Amino acid sequence: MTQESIVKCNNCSAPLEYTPESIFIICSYCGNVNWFLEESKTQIFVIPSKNEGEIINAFWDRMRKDKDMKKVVNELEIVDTYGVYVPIFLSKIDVSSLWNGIERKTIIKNGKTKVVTIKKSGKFSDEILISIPARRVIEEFGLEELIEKISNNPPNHINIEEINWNEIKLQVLNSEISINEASSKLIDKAEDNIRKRIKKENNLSEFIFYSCDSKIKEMKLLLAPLWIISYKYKKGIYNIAISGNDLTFLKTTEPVFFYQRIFQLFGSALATLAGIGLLSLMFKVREDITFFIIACIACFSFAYSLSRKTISDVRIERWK
Amino acid sequence: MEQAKCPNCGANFNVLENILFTTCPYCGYTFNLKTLQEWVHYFFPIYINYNSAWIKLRSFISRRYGVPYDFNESSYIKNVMLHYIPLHVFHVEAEATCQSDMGKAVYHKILDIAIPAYSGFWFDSILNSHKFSIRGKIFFKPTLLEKGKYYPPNIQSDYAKNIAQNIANSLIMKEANESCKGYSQISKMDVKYIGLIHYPIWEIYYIYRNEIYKNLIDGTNGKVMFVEYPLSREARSFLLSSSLFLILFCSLGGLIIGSLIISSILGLIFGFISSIIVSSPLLSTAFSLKIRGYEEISKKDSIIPSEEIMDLFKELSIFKIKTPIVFDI
Repeated sequence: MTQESIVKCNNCSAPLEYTPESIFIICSYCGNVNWFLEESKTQIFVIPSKNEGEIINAFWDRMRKDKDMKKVVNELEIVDTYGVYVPIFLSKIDVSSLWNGIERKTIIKNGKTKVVTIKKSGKFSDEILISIPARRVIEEFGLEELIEKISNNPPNHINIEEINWNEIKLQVLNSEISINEASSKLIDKAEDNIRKRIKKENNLSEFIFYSCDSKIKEMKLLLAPLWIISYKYKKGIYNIAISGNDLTFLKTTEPVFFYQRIFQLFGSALATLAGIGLLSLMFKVREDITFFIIACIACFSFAYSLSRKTISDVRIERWK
Repeated sequence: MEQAKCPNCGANFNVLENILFTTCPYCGYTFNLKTLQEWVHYFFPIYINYNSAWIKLRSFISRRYGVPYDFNESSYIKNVMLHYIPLHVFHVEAEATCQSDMGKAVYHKILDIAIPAYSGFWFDSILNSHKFSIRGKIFFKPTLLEKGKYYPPNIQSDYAKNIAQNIANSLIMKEANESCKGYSQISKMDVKYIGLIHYPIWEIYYIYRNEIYKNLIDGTNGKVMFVEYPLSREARSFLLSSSLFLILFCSLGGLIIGSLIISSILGLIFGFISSIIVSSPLLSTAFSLKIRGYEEISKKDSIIPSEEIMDLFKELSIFKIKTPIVFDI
């Protein structure tokens, strides 16, 4: 196990960046797929990426249009741009679920608030799309958002053997998860997603019973392009993740300006006042205590989070 | 010191006492000193060198709120150490079954868990909550360690396996209990040992105006694990005046609201107390000598899946076991 040898591409003999868990490696020079785990062999599809120039243009376009950033656009400087293809398993899963739960509702009747519990139950079956990275760690900035975007609306993808690799080539991150492991992970994720969806759609506060049978109908390995631009403003460095096929901004970090801090401070003061108002009302009317307590906590937590934001260093925006 | 003989190449070399595993400095074979069995051993090369770590640290600090304007010009490195920290890594597949009036349901959980295999750092607690990446590890070779400090594990893999199992147990049972009110029990628990990984971490000390600040950077991906930095006088006064504004504004507001609704004294008290709580993040920063922070990464970035695990770590308090043993190779 301790021996390490140089692994070369089967097609062009270029050296490959082999790691102990690599399942396949796509040669960055010729695009040839080198398999290391025969039983995990599957068809690979590529979501072609735009080129670096188009990515950089999209970045400047956004900065010039953004209401906060356009004022400082001349002070921005790109320090690094890189793109990678991230291997992602996209899968169609048949799910059928049986559930039974409780909804708790606060209702106001004759001027009095009351918490009522409603029992609900149902069946759910559907065909859903789920994707996971074919890697142990979702570590790349913006990858989480990319995965979500691909499961919501899978972009066009082409069989890797039918494309001209030279036109769209980028480094491909190694795949570390075999098909078997991916299947169990996809089923795990499908169960979790459906549980959340049922809970949300039916306003459930808790489940009495939830079961979910999931069957994978189809599974593809996609290479999805992810670009990261690092830019400099004053002395700080900020990152932006862009989806390479349609130039969507997946995740951006931006500096916090002084006037934004002042807004947050005032916001915090006003939210505190609202909380004080509610607290005083509660002491006056001495009824509907639960409602008042919840509303007060909401106001004060909002005020507290705004006050914390006053000293934050970056603003993070995510693709929705 | 004890003598050890490598079962792979036959070389003799010295090892410190009380360690569990060692790596032959000649051929890189890692083995258990008692059983002489080979141990799967990986290693993360440093992708972030000394220079990039310092640049990354400075740019991270520079964008934090309230850093003095002359920070980049007036700060310089005092001391840098590269630690190779051992981790036991496990792959866990767990399943829980719940039996209720409505039928039977099965829940699954699949996760990779890294447990620090060494205790004795001042930053043990940071390691516990750090999200280690497993990307790009390669087979261990002692020549690759360069000038780093290599720490042999002083926490047994079986012990770490227990912790990994406890973590998986609590996560799958939590999922089962949230999904089903019937009788739940664990129906499958496969904990597979992936291996021992040595992971690089930079410990950097810098000086700014005669004051020393300590910092930690992940050597594989450059994530800032821990920073300390100074706060400028301007920022301190902004924070203090903001807090004062919040307290006065809210107390006065409380007084007026109180006099309209209930009583002015009660309103004033509500206003004063709530504004102190709301302005506490500003006040605590304004009064700290050194500001501390770390780079926030998304929850899913981790091979340790959630914060609950960190709580578990605290409960189990695994990092109070042995005195540290450190040696250079």
